[in-house]
Amino acid sequence: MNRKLPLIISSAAILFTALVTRNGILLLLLTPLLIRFIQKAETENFSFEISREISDRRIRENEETEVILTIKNTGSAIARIRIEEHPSSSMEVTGGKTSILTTMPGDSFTTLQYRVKCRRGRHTFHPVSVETWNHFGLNRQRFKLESDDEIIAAPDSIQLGSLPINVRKTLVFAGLNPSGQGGDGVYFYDTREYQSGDSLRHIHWSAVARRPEKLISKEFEQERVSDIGIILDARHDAYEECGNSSSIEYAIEACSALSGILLSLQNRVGLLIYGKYLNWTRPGYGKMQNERIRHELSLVETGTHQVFKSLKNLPENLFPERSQLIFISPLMSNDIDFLRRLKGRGYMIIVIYLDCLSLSVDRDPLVLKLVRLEREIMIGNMERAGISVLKWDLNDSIENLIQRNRGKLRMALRGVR
Amino acid sequence: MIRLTRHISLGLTGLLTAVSLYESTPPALVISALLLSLLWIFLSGRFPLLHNLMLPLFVLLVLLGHLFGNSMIIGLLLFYLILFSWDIDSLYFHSKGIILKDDELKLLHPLLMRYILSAFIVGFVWLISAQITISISFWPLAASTLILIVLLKKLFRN
Repeated sequence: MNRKLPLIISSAAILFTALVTRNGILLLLLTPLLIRFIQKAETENFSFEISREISDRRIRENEETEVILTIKNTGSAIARIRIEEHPSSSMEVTGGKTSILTTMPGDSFTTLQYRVKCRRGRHTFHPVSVETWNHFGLNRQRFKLESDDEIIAAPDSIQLGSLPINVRKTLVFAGLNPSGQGGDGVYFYDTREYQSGDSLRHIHWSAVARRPEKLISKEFEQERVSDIGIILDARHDAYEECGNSSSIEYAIEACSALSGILLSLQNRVGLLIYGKYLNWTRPGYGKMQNERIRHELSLVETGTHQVFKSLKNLPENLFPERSQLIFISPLMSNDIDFLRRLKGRGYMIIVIYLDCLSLSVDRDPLVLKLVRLEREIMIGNMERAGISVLKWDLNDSIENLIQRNRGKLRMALRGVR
Repeated sequence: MIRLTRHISLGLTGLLTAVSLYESTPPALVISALLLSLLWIFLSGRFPLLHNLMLPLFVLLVLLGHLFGNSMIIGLLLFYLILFSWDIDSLYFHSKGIILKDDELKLLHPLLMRYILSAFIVGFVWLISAQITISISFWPLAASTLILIVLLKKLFRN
């Protein structure tokens, strides 16, 4: 709104009437209008400093955080100023104010305090828009003030109660996974003839009672750490093929839950996000690694890059030889060849197949039936190749999926077909 | 407070303009004044152009009232009220309806002070003009033309 135009038109109308009627007293009406034009333009020395104080820059999905935006006027006094903060559309303002109209003397500051709730992802702020006017609402000037602040919202993960992990290949360090080798441990593994140095507490007295001619010792299963690689499929086409591109959120949820439980079981876990680009999180242990994985998961977006359209460019050498791989994907029809190749190289593979079709309600039933049939055939072929497939109905939780497939998982991880 | 002041001043503007026009002008102008003020109150938020249109329209009504025989003092007071309403309206829309209570006074106070100052100036000029009869002759005409040129120059510069 240019507010000068109506003032000029009104002034012209008064002047014209005064001239036509030859009535000088009418010119008095011009006085308040002229005062507006005589007012000095207050737009010369405006300069601002902006800073944002965010209570938590790294939050969980749908968690709230408080933002305090401070704008300092380092120039001359401003009669009327409107400050507008623009959080990105992925942030929901749940309280407080994101705009203010006020006055600002020179060297003063004003703050805007509000709370936002964020979806998963990296959230940035648009430039803060500042508009200034003089006392009469004239001489408008606009500024855009930028500040590189961001909030990262990690996916909200479900804490899985347990995961029947029993990996075939273990590392040398002590962990919680049965290694299939006798030694020190908790769970009974085998019996053997007593050797000097064996603790008397480990003598298998029942066996000795049956064959009193020699002493028999109990052997326990060694528990070691394992190498587990999680591959998250972030190919846009894979999700689009099943008609629901937002299903990646389920994949991320599963990925977060699985990495959480696997790390808590003292495994070495790595993550590869395959889609927009290759995002490789090197294998590691513990809470720090969990945080690293969650950070990467918070930034996942599906990608349509031609190079990553099929799995053939997935660098399998990133994962330690014969390690356990968990592939989370809605699967594309040509993925089976690559998975077979991986299996052939000695990797143990579990596929968590996201049944996106379970969320489709508006599809032609015949089309749905045909697609389901095609997927069933593909899953059958995979299982015949020794790949364990857990079919996840997305209306159900990941925890229920794991609980329902405990036996299957245990067998898969032991390497039994 | 600004919202309330806006509504009251816009309502008063329409009402007083209509009352001032009631005796001297045709009824159509009276109804127009009331309708315009209603439009201003309720629709200028949705159509910002209305805000800009209202000042010249109400000034026109005041001038018409003067031409139909209203006294100058009524015209002047009405004109002040219209200008005040227009400024309050701009303040309300610049705030976009969100304004802190502490800031309302800070914003209103300097505006009111300027109105009082300009009222003093106008009163002073009025007193002088009451002593001498002003009729537009060559010099006022030249001055007015110059002012008009300056105003137009400002318009085109923006």
